[in-house]
Amino acid sequence: MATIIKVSLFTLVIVVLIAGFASVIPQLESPAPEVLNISGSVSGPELAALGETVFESPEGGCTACHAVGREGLRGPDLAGIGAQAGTIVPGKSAEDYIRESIVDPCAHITEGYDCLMPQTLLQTLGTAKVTALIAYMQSLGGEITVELTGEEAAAEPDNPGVGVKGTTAEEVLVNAGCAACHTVEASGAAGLIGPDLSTIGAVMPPDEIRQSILDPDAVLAEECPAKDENGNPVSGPCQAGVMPKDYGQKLSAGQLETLVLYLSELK
Amino acid sequence: MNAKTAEERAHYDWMGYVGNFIAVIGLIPLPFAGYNLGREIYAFSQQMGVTMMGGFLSWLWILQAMLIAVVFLSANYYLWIGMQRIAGGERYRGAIKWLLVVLTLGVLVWATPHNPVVTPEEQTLIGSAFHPLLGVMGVMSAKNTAVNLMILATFLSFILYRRAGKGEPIPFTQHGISARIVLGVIVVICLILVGSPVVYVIQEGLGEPSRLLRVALTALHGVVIVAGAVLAFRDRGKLGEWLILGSATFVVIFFGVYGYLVDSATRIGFSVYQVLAVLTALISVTAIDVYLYRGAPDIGSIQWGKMPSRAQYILILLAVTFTWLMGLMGYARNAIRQHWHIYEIVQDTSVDAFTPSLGFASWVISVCVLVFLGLIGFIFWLGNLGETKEKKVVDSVSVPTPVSK
Repeated sequence: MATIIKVSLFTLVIVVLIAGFASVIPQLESPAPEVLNISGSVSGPELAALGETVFESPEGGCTACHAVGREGLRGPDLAGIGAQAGTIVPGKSAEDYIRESIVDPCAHITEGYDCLMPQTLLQTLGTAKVTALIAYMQSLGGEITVELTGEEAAAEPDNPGVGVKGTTAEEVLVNAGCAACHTVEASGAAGLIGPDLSTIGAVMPPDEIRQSILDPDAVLAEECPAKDENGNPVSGPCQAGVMPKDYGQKLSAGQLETLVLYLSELK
Repeated sequence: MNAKTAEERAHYDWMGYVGNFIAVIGLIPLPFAGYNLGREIYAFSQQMGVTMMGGFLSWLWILQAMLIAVVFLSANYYLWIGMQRIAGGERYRGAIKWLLVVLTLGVLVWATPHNPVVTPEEQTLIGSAFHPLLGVMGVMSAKNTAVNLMILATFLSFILYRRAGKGEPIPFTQHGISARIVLGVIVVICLILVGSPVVYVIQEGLGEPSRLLRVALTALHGVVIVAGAVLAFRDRGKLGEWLILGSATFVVIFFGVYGYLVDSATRIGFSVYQVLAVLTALISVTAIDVYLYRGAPDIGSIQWGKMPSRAQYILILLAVTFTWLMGLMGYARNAIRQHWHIYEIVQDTSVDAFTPSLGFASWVISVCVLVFLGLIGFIFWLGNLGETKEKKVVDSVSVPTPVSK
């Protein structure tokens, strides 16, 4: 009995020591990012202030790598970027350079740094917040030229973090643009560019449907709508590079799975 | 620890030895697997790699490194204590301090973060995002080198333990043709393993010096493995083993140092060559060693049951640490989910997206570990209950009872 007590105490001490150490080191929680809503026309310092909020928020995540006034952990110091941005690439305005650096960060890599910045900020933040970020960057030593119109702000997706509106499969099919290229009889979609998906569930298991959405060129369908020399409808082999490859970023996990389930049931 | 008879002590000592053996065999590939997974993630998307290693979870990896350090040191310590109960083990006692030095230095390097997890104020005090000295130790080159040397040191501990009670190895020629065939096949497997990534390098061209060096060092290591086997065939197996281990060490250290001179993408690729050099060394040296000491004269058999109590506590420490590590990795997998939405970096911004702090998670893991070990203890207790009953029945049958008249 004494041995069992000793062993149990020893086990308890080890566990408490490990958990105790894990509790005294700096604690970081990862809460759901507070989503900033930008509406109406905004410009100038007001837009830059909103941009600063996005810059420092977990939603933006910019401060994980960048800093202002000192070197960032993985990205360059952004102090004075508003003044420098217009001089880095000849012929490119400060606004365009900053926008491109946010939306397509690997287009311009500052010397001494790797291409580590996420390329999904436009999808995750939306146009309004990206515009606010540009205004904030311009305010760091430069003149704020960018403006956010009411239409741009209103065009934001209603589900922050994703680029496609809608929760049902039918809504996603339309809003994600699937219906423009594919025929899906059950939903009324009549696109004539990609393969007919009306009975796709009978020939493809859910895993392959998911793969075809996320990585469309991995396996190409054999029959796509085409036209012969006289303009008559025929079918021909599907071409690579036609379907966008960014649905992994545009769709939320829920939207993707709803779509996969819906398509897999079309038999 | 609770055994009452010498027979019981010997039995449970043997169980502990086998348990530790299985744990070490299971432990050795784990760093390989972890680093290969990391390499794959970085190869797919550097952003995903950075989010995993350098963001919210930074401290988790430091804790993980410390726990793995405990596992490595404990497993080795158990083997070193075990050598004390083998007459002849004292011949290798001098090597233990050097193995301890390698393991300790390896642990220190492995637990050093590339970017210290600091506040902006602390970073301003340091003057840079990277510590001037420790930052150098935090990169993949240093960490891969450290972990591979730790694996080699652990393997060496195991080899010395095996040899502790054995005399001089018997000549390889006494094992006949079958031993040659088996060793030959193992060498071929090692050559295929070590040579497989080089095929791609050659196909893509040898223009850069780093590519040429990868091919050259792999070829050198392959030649050394063949030479080691040939030496074994000629009854110089021990020399062959040391040559192979030396070659693996050289490859590991060379790529570790050379990694500082190339870009990060190339540097990460070196880990494959380091891992394969070590893995093939482990396979080929084990094969040679098995034949060298099969049938070798015993100069002191293992005195089962003579293992001190502290060794048993080491086994418990190993079990607890392993289980806790598994819980920690489960938390890591779930925590990263919030930042790896679908298959790229898209934050989960849904209202329920929340990941608790490491401290909170660690207490949850601890409770899970205690419950798990409690259940294991319960199963053992149940099993033991049946065994005790069986023993009592056997005792009552075998001991004649006086017949009353």
